Amino acid sequence: MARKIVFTSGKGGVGKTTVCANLGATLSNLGFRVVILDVDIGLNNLDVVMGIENRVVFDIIDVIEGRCRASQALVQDNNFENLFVLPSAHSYRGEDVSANDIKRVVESLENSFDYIFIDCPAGVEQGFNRAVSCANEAVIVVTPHISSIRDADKVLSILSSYNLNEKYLVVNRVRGDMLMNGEMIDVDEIIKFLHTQILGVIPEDDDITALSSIGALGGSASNRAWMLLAENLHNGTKKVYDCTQKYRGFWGTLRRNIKRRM
Amino acid sequence: MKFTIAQIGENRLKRVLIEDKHNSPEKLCDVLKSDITNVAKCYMDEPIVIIDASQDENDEINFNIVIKSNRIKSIGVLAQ
Repeated sequence: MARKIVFTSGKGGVGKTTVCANLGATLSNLGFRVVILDVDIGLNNLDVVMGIENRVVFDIIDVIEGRCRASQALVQDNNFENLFVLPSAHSYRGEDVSANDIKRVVESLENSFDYIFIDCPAGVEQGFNRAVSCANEAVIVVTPHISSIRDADKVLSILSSYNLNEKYLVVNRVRGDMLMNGEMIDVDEIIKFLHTQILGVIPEDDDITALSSIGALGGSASNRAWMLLAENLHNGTKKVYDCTQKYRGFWGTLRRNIKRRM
Repeated sequence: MKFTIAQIGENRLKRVLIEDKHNSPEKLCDVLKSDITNVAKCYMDEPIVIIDASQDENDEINFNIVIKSNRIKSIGVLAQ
């Protein structure tokens, strides 16, 4: 039976889809079968992030409306053989899809996979309800910015009314140099404000931005962070990536100063 | 004492989160109103739900809920 995990944030643009895709890729690399459902109906992006947009034949609406089975609509990732995507529709009115429709799709996949990731749309409206209703765990993606943390706080209070077993926090786009310079809100403070267990910290990584342009996953600076995140999720360990490590000591200070001047 | 940018951000964040919590009783009333209206619609036509929340000296929150309707639906009566 698959673990059904929704990736949400409240605020848009914090990296839900990126976290979802990269964590899925890391877990699939470890041998787990992972499927990612894009339930952002009408504003689908997961296919583009993963570079599979040219291979989409059916989408989640085709599955819901009975034109194909869920297994027929799945698209296998280009690089990870255990990673699959169920794409969303790009021209469809989301209001016509109910939480039960999505739940049925999830149920039809849960015996074939180890993990079902649900990429939730931004906001806390109907699309949010659809995505959260069919999960039993939630990952709240947050960046070290006030607007993102505030929205995450609201999302957490809304999530308490759902029947979720676990809620985890992923702090994305953390800059070690800014943390060391006292220019960015500390991860420990974010955990303290949101009272939620931390699953992982992902550093700001230019490679992620660059690779997303060509529809590829990963990033040299964040590889270790994705691995720790996957281990924490699967094994329940609590190893958090230290973004400040390479900015400590003599060479670290030099690196920080160079980055600041650039 | 000079604060770092991170400390200023943390203080702002703390203030914003506390203010959000202070405002939540009003939002809670809206949510309750919507839920109760949906339940009331099962038993009566066009119900009007009025919710008033107040806090007493023991810090307990009291919700006064009034539901008004012109007609109650027939319940437990089989169609002839």
